[in-house]
Amino acid sequence: MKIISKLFVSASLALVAMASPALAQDFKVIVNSANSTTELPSDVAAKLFLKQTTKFPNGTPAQPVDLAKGSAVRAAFTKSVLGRAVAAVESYWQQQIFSGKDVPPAAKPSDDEVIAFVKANPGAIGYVSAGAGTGGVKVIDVK
Amino acid sequence: MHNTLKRAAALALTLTPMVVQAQDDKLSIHGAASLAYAKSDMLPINGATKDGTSDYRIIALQFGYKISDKDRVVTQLLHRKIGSSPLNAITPAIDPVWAFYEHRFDNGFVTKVGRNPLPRGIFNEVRYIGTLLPLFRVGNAVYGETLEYVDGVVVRKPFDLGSGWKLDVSGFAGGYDIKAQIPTSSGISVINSRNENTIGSQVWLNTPIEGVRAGVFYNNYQGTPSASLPAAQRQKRTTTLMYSAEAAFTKAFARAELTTFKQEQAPNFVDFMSYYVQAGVNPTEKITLVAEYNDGRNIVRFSGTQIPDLSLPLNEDLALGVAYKPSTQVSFKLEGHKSEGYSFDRPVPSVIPPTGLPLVAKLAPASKTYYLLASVAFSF
Repeated sequence: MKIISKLFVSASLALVAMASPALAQDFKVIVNSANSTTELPSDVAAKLFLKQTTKFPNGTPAQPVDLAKGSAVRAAFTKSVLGRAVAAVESYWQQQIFSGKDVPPAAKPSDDEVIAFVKANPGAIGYVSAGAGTGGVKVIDVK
Repeated sequence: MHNTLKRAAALALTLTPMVVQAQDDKLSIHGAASLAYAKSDMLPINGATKDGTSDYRIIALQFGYKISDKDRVVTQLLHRKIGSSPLNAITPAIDPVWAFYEHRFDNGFVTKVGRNPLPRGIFNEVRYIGTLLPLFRVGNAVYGETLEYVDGVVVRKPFDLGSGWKLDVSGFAGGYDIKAQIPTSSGISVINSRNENTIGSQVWLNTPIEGVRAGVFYNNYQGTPSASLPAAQRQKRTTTLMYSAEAAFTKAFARAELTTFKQEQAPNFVDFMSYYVQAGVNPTEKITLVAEYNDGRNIVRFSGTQIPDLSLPLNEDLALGVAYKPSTQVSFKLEGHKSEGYSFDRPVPSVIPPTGLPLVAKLAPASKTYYLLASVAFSF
């Protein structure tokens, strides 16, 4: 019984240890290379993606882009940066859409398409999986 | 020629995904539907009948087009069929409830021109969206099936007050339709009138606790027709107020709204007040349990006569509901209501007229019915 408990505790600790850093490394936040932003507080990034703020702190008009619904990277980004469950963010956007206030950011099906969008739009901000190649765009720190 | 066609075809094939992509970024299409079965046990009410009716639905389809980063146009079409409700007689099969042009200024100021969602209370802007509502319809005593949009201008500006406090201020001017059903001794009368030269505002105070807010709606309007009537018969401008409070968290929510207006139209004076209180819990992410109570009263003063004021209670409606949401885009709901009062889809005894002096009219005993709504809602 003791051995089972020890195994359980060890496994749990290992899972916790694995889960936390993995969450932080599941995605990279990217902006257009012409954007002077190098880092963003996570609450500012959240406001940009929820369209509660329309500009970067440096004054550049923001154009957020999401990965498609169902993406594991989107789920990790949503939980880590927006601080909400994916379902809560979906309800938020339903409220915004159907009250005529705003529509959600464009959603792209792949890392490559997010990167292409960010390259093409000076105010774009997006996120891609940690392993994606990010040539031509700038990776920024979100804390 | 053949080569030119081939090149054109190749170019078209190359461009098509770009055009589709461009449309994807500019054009947005969203929709919502709530489809119900409604049945009452005795009296017909809110379109529900003793036989039961599945002819009960609300469908909204919204198209938006982004002209630029700051400009867009939005149209929303609404189809609404409420069982056997007398209001069906004045409800078009397809109603263009929104058609507005929006411009956003750099300072956060937003202006909308055209047929706009009327910023009024907690639910006015999403009252057709079943996936966002715990019950089929929003608090009936406060919202009814009217005051949905405003033809004119709406402006909005959020203000950050610091320390987590935020103010969200909307103002509007224009005109809107009023639709209502009024029970009379001979039947149910439906009203489809128009208020014009209206001005108003909705102010929300958002607290540092996310999900907790309080709001006030103010509206001053002119009933029509007015200009063509003799001065003595003209309705005075009327002011409507509405107070809202909401606390909505992940696991539980509570909200209440109260509306009042006083209308003077010689020789009578109407003093109206109604409210609803709603509370619920989400024991799991997919299940919502909700209770709602609606009530109010209408005081009619007969000026220049010996007839005392007549206080007419509105229907007391108590609702209990459960909703199951397998996803944020689908919701199954079952709700039961007990409604007691004098306003149903067919006349019921209301006032016992005085038979002698003093001229005091008495209220007849209230009528009562139970009704249920089983519905599915989805949105995209």
